[in-house]
Amino acid sequence: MIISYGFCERESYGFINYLNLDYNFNIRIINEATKPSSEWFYYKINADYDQKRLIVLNNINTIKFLNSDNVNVLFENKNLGIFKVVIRVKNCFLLEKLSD
Amino acid sequence: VIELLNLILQLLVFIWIFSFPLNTFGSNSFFYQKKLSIYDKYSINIIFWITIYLILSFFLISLKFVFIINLILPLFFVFYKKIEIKNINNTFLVFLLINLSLFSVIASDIKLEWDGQAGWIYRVLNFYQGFSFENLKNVPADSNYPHLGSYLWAFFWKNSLFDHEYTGRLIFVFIFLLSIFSIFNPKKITDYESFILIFLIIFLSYDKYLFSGYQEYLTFSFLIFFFKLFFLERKNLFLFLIMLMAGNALMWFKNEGLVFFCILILSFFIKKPFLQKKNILLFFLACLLILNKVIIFNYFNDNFYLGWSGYKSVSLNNLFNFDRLFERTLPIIISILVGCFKYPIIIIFLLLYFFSCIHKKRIHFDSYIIFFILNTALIFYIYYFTTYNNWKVFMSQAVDRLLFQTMGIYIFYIKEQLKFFRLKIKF
Repeated sequence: MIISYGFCERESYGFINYLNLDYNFNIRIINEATKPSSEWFYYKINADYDQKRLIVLNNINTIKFLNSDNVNVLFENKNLGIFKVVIRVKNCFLLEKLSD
Repeated sequence: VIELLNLILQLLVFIWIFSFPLNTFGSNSFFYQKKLSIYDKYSINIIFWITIYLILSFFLISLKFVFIINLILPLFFVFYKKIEIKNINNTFLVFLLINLSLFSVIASDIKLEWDGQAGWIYRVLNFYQGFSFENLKNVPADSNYPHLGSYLWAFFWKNSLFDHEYTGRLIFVFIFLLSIFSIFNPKKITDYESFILIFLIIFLSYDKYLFSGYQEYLTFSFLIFFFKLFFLERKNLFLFLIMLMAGNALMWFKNEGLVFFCILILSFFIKKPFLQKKNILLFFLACLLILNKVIIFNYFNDNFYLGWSGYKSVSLNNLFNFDRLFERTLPIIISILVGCFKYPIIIIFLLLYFFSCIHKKRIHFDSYIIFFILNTALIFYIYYFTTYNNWKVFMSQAVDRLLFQTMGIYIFYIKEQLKFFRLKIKF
């Protein structure tokens, strides 16, 4: 899977798998390197989206660092709010929301 | 090694579960007394089971339960000693080996391409996670796309040794190869002529991209099955029904399958008078199957359309616009020609047809094929001519795939025409 989809490149399956999250909720994934979304790797049918967590893969412009721990997320001209960096591997991030 | 064992096991599963209801390793069947090849029997069994899967996909029935039933039924032939090893000819081993080779190619690069990741996989996950057709409106993909290919994919993914989605896609390879073998029906391993053509056709029609989550190969193969059954036996009721099942499956694989089905049904009446008992029955049943699909989609999704959500055609007032005619006609024709060069089987077909016209060596079914091509081309043209916006984008993304799906039918022609020209390869 990692050979085909990359670790923190292309669809970044490796990073998503590495997070080893409990998937009772779906997690919104923003991927700047490729479309379509990489959400399908762990997509749970009919489950709600996690309102707190967000995964950003292959970040280029989505994340603006406020300090070493906190970031502001801007995606498609929309400010998604301030997030705390929970896990970071290269340019792939698991974020948790602090405020709107 | 484990991966290879998984592929072998998956192949054995296909061989086993599709050996029922027609006994693929036995003598003549109860339903059909004439000799059918092992490939024809497998094709018929697959059409039969896929129709059953289609029905089951509307209900909340566990995929594992269906699979167990699938596994148990062929035991009937074992208990009643209906399996005769002598009926397995050595060409079947070649068929299995080619299957394994292509399975390995898929297993070596399991990446899903655009349509697979953007749409089809969510429909697969719907069935894989135990939901039925009714729930498809809740998944991210367009709910108006048919779902039968996704059900098949989910079915074999769920019931595989490895929990990898690609194992579900291997069935597409099996069906594709079966359809090619069913055209040529090699009888013995020394049937070099057939094998050369089989390898050539596989080489020319194999597209790894389309095995990466697309459904085109299913339409390709089921058009072959439909066309083959159409000519195999027109008087046998059992095969007649199987042929209709194949046509019905076409509609549930992809939306354009409905268009192909309609054209094929209409082509029935080229040489036969409409007012014949069997033709009226065919027409009636075909209309019923189409109506059935429309009703089901309207009931579950509240709408039914042939394109995709957001598709908009030009208004009737603007339809007959000369500017559009000049703007679009040439690009559409060029796009179709480019598609033809991408899949050279169409070029080979056109060349053979050209030669056959010069030499006046016509084949009994070429009028059906020409009718099919003209109508398909006309529908492609109308479709892109009337698309309101982004028509160039849609066209660049889809014309080659649309052409690909129809390619199976030309293979019949190529086979017959080569026979006609007495192209014998001596060894």
